[in-house]
Amino acid sequence: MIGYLARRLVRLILSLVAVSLITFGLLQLVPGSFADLADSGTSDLGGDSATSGSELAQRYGADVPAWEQYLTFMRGAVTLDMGPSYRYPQATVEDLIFDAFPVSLSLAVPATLLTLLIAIPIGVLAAVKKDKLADYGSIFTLTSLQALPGYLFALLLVLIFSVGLGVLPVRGWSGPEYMIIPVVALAIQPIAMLARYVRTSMLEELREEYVIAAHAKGGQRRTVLGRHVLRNSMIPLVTIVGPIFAQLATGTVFIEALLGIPGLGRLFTTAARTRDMPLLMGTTLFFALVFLLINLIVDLTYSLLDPRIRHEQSSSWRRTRRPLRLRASKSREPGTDRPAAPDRSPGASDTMEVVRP
Amino acid sequence: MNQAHPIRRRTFLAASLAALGATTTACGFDGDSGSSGNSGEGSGSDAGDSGDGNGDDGAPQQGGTLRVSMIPVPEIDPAIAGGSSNGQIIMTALWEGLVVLDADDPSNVLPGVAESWDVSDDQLVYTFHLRSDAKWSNGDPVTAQDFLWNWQRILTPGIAGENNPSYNQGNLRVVGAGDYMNGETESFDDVGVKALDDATFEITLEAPNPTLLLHLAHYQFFPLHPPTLEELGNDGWLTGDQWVSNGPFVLDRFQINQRAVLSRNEHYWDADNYYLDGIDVTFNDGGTTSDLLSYQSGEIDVTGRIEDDLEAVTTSDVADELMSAPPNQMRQLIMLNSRNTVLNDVRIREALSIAIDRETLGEISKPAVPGNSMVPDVIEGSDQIPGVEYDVDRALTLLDEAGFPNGEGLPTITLMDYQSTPWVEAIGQMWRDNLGIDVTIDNIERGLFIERIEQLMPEDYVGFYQLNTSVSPPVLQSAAQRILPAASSRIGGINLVPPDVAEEFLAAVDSGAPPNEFLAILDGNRYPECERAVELAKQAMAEPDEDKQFELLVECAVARDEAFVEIPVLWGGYNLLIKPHVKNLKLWPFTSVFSTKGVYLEN
Repeated sequence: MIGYLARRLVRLILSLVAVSLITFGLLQLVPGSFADLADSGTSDLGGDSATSGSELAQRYGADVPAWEQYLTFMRGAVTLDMGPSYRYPQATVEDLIFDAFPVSLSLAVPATLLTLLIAIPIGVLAAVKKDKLADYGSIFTLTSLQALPGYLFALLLVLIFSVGLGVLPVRGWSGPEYMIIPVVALAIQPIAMLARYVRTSMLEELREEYVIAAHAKGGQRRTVLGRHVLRNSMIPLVTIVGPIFAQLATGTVFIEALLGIPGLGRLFTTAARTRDMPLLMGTTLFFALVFLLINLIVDLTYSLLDPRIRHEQSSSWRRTRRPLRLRASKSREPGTDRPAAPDRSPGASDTMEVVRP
Repeated sequence: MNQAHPIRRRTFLAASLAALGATTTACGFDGDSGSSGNSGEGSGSDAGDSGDGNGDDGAPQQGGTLRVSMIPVPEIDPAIAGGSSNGQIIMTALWEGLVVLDADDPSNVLPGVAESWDVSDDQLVYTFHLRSDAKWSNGDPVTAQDFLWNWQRILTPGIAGENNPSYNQGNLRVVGAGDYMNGETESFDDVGVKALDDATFEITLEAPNPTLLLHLAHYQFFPLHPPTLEELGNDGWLTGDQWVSNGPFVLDRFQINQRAVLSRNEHYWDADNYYLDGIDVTFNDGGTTSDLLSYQSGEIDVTGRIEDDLEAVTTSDVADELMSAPPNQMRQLIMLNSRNTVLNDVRIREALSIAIDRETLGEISKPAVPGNSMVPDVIEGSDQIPGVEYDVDRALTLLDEAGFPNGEGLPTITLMDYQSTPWVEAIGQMWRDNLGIDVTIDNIERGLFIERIEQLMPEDYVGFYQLNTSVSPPVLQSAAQRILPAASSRIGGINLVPPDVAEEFLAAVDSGAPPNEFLAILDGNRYPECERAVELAKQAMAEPDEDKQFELLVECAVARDEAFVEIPVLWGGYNLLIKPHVKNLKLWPFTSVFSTKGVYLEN
């Protein structure tokens, strides 16, 4: 286990270095530098390039070669001293990130919990009532909702609850009541996605022989579903909840912008738009770190959820392995749906193997 | 199913849920936002200290918080050339310079920290006498040394980091300031600013500058509090807990991308003329929709965050609450320098300009108005500048004379833009319909746009780019200043030169030659109509006699319009939605948009 963790951590660091190199490289290729864009002041209220005479003044740091800029930044990133952002010269990159991350997190956590609370019961219900009205109805509704972009849904909520009923604020970030609309808007797509995963996964398990056996033994339907089927359907669930959470926690550009939430998404888009190199590098690395860590946690969670899964101790970290897959214990009946592949997420691609009892 | 560790697993799940729940408490709201409620109602106390009583609506009422929404302001540092006016609105509330702008007369200034000033006979030495009751918000007196310290700070090379420094020697002309800023001299004693004693500050110019006082009222010359800066450092003073300033308000909190909270500074000498208890600024980069909704439901009193969709505002039920400052901005087309020199014939450019029906464009671009000159009519002297008139017949005649009857044989004209702009599209259509030429609109990403406008375009790319600029401060001098070669390193627009000269210029820029060297390449090589305008601008700026200078400035503005390298299309001012209960808020044609002096909230 320790060895496995160490290997994962080494790979995590290498991934981060790769991410930083790619980001920095792309930044060099993008047209327009921060200074050019800052100089042009083209669109804001009163945007004005009356100041363009100042470009004759020596510009600080203009002559520093790119590789040196990269090394300076990376040194800063390692020691958590990334220096001031270009665009926000009165704040350091790490301060900006550490101020914005809790905001994004405080939306991501309730949104994820809401997702779990709603999606699992719906998914179970749909699976149990397969091909009945409850199944079709719920899946149809969810698919429709999934097709609706989150920010549009947020706008709808604003129009109903803020403008129409006047019970919630339109935008801002000054208290718990400001969380309601964004959390609901953020949860809607994950709910739809997760409910369908749960349904498929449940259906898959319901076909297993042990379910028939449990029923045959006279097990209560409730017990069979809750204790056996649902529990065994958890693996795909964890696989997709991890990335969902990571995605929410690293900021949601449109909803944050629309509802005036000072989260990571806005920071990142501003940095990209203004070519703010330190801030863009900082946020990208931070995003990568969050994703990698959550995937690691997801992988570790598998073994806790299902003791049959054991981390392989002996394999070398270099060896690429097939992604996690539960070995099918029996061949499936022809013609039945395959489950929505539980191993599709990047989180699953790892050196693990499943040992069947 | 293996039941070996049921408790461990259950504990694990419960624990993770608990941990997740716990993190929700760590979300970092704005905190005690007592002011964000219905503060528009004002907190009563009709004490109404009579003040100057210049409000149109009876006695001003004391109290209340003005809730303003704007585009996120990244910094409020006087040393940094800010791209937008929003930061300047905040800065104007926090600090006071030697002089302040006059909301009733845009060409005048009023005493600020300086209660009076003397100008020497040769117009070169300005001596400011500081008022004795000017105080920092901690009660310390504001001294001439504080101003000197700040002058040295904004002139320090590299002070603005990756941003542009705010000081512009062409606009100010203070002795030695440009050299100090460029690192050519290290001795600040050579710069023409001196603190003669605690209460006397002196500025020496290298040439007369009638606009000096207007410039001094701007944010670049607001004084930061030297001891605070020295203690907190250059990058720690904005978001820190410690705040000292000398304006009508102090900054309680500044949260990037979130909000800024300002409250009254009771130590401010003119506090009696400020009625607001505070200003609560929220930052919004979510576009007009969200601010409009927020405004309509009464969450904010003032918003300028409506520029990207003014149509949504002018068609809404709050359209009559939209206020515009007197127009000092121009939306214009600027010529790109291309290897294809067909547009370098001034007749064709004139034809293009007079084939634009600006009245129609004004209709679709409200509240902007048709603009037919590079000098909007808010500026003194603009009545002597005729501008261009819509005349399709003459346009066709001009094309005929230039050898392109009915537009036949002209290449496709490209209009380059970094966003979708209705009036640009409309111009394309007008040229197609009126002149029979092909027009394409090239919408490109903003970074690419910024790079392209400085380039020499290839043979198949000939045309204009759209830009919004302003005449700031709104006087003829600034209009002339803008076209001086030092103000722009671009080869298009007023610096239109033949392609071979453009190549030479770009090569010199690339090789890192000093500005005066590569700018010299342009001189004498511009097309005659451009050369004339630039020459007149130079003469005007060097002319010591005020009347003669004014004549030259008018002549220069006319010559610039007649060069048709910059085609004016619309004039606009700063547009804000202002709730009717906000009284006495006057918009002015300066980049700082308004000050809160005399502004009050009606119950």
